[in-house]
Amino acid sequence: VDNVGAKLLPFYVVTDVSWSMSGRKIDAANQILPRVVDALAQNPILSDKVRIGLIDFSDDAKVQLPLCDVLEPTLTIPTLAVRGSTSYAAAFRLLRTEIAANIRQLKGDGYLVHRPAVFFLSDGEPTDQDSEWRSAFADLVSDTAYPNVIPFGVEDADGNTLQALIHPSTGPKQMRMFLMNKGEDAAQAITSMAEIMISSVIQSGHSMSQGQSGIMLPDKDDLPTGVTTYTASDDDFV
Amino acid sequence: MTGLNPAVPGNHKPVTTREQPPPGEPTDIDPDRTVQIGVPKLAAIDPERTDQFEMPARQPSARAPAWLGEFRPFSVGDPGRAAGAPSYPDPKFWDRPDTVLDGVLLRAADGLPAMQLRAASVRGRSHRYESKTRQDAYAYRCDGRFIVAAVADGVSAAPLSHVAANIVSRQGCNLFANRLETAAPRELDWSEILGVLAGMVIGSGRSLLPSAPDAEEPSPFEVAKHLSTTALFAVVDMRPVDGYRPVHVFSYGDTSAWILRSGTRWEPLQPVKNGGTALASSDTKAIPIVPRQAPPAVRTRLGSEDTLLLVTDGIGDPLGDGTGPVGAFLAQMWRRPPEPLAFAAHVDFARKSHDDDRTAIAIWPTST
Repeated sequence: VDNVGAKLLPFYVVTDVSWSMSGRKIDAANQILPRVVDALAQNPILSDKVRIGLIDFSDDAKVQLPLCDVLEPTLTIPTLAVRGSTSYAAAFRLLRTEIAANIRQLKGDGYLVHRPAVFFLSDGEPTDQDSEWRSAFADLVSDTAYPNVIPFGVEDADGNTLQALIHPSTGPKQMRMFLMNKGEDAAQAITSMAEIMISSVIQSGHSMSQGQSGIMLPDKDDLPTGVTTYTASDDDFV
Repeated sequence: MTGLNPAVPGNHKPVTTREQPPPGEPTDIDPDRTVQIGVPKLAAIDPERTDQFEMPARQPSARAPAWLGEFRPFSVGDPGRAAGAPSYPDPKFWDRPDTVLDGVLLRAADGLPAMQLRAASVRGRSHRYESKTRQDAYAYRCDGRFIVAAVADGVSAAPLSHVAANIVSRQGCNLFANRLETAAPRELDWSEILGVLAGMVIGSGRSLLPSAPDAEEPSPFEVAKHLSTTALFAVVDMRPVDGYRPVHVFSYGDTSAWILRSGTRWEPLQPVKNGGTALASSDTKAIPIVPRQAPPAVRTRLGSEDTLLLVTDGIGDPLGDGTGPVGAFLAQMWRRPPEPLAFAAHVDFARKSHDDDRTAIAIWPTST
């Protein structure tokens, strides 16, 4: 197939599947991709360019859906299942090798790949050592083809921890994080996070058509109820 | 990860540039395709029985259609789902056409040979689907000695960019033509002209943007959020030197100029966008935010078998470095001046993920 010069905008949905995600939370997380697919199916302009991958993590991380055109008719969306503790380091290490491998292959196939975005969803604190996940994250964002990282936190996810994962954290293309407000229902919050992810995919795809590079995120005023967005320099979420 | 994508159900007919033999000619017929055009499957055809392929008797000449010609849209490779997407008007700009085009012979003074020009500006599939107006523009002038031609790409994120693209292409051509009355092309001061154009866009923005009576007028950066455009100008000397027309190109932003050498090889006159970078970017420099010192002019020359091409990135991006399938397609179509309407149809070719507004001006020497 001739792909020479085709533009591509990759998104990676990275989901926590530790035990604490059991029940309605993992059910809600399993609805993220089908909802993204529904949104893309309604837009022939964006679906020509957007690619989605799904990675889950617990003690280890797994590529559950390699980066792909999710409207491929033969595609089956995998169902995630909970399995263990919460290693952020495992997620970051796998993301790093996966992104590098995907970009290498896509460029080899002639695609013009735009900077990927990572939607990182967690409901708790990392169970690996602080220094370990921090250094794995530093490696991930030190690559030339570093991704934009947008953290999504529900329930027991710590604002300070997730804030360290916003990338870029400063500058004209700085990203933000999205946190569930205290006391909200976590499964409902995950559904709200899916809405934010879809909005970002669509806005970013439009932005690319409009001669701009960069991942767009919904404004503070356009968020579903129960969710608040913060920049890397906000400190009012505790 | 890759692969052909199906059409959006119900609203997309595949389009191809492949020649399709008329029904009844069994050469190179794809069995699936013959079903679509209503001819029996090849497998069912007995090669000994030529009567199976007989078409209805030719219409008597008295009833033959009085017209000739046909039109099918162009595509290069996979047209993408966008090719089948509907095209909606922009209710804010009813009078701005989806497509504009020109095909003219530019006469030269002093018995010099004329030059052919084709131009088209076509709304991108993204803007068509999203009910947004075309933000590209072109303009050209010719005084019998010099051709001045411009393409401009209004930055979509700024909602009045089509105004900026019009101002810059038209007024820019006027400025170049005016300067050429007293200066040679190599003496043209692009930094000066770029500064004047930036001032015009800022002035236009200040008159168009609403502001409180006692408020400070909007800064250039504020204007740039509403009106912003790239620009590329070419000055072609119609007087050949050793058989070649001297060409000077002045650009700002990601609009690009090319020469198709002898109908076969695309020669970029600027560095190829995204060439060699790890990741692609759509960012561009744009008027009215301009430096004191403009990018240097590019000098080249146009041979009698060459084509000069100015394009916005809607064509420049899929053209890439000119060696791919889009380069082959445009070289084939544009080695000689095509019919003006055909030129616009070429500009509008479908190719997956390339849905930006497209503008092209092509210029050919003639021998007479």
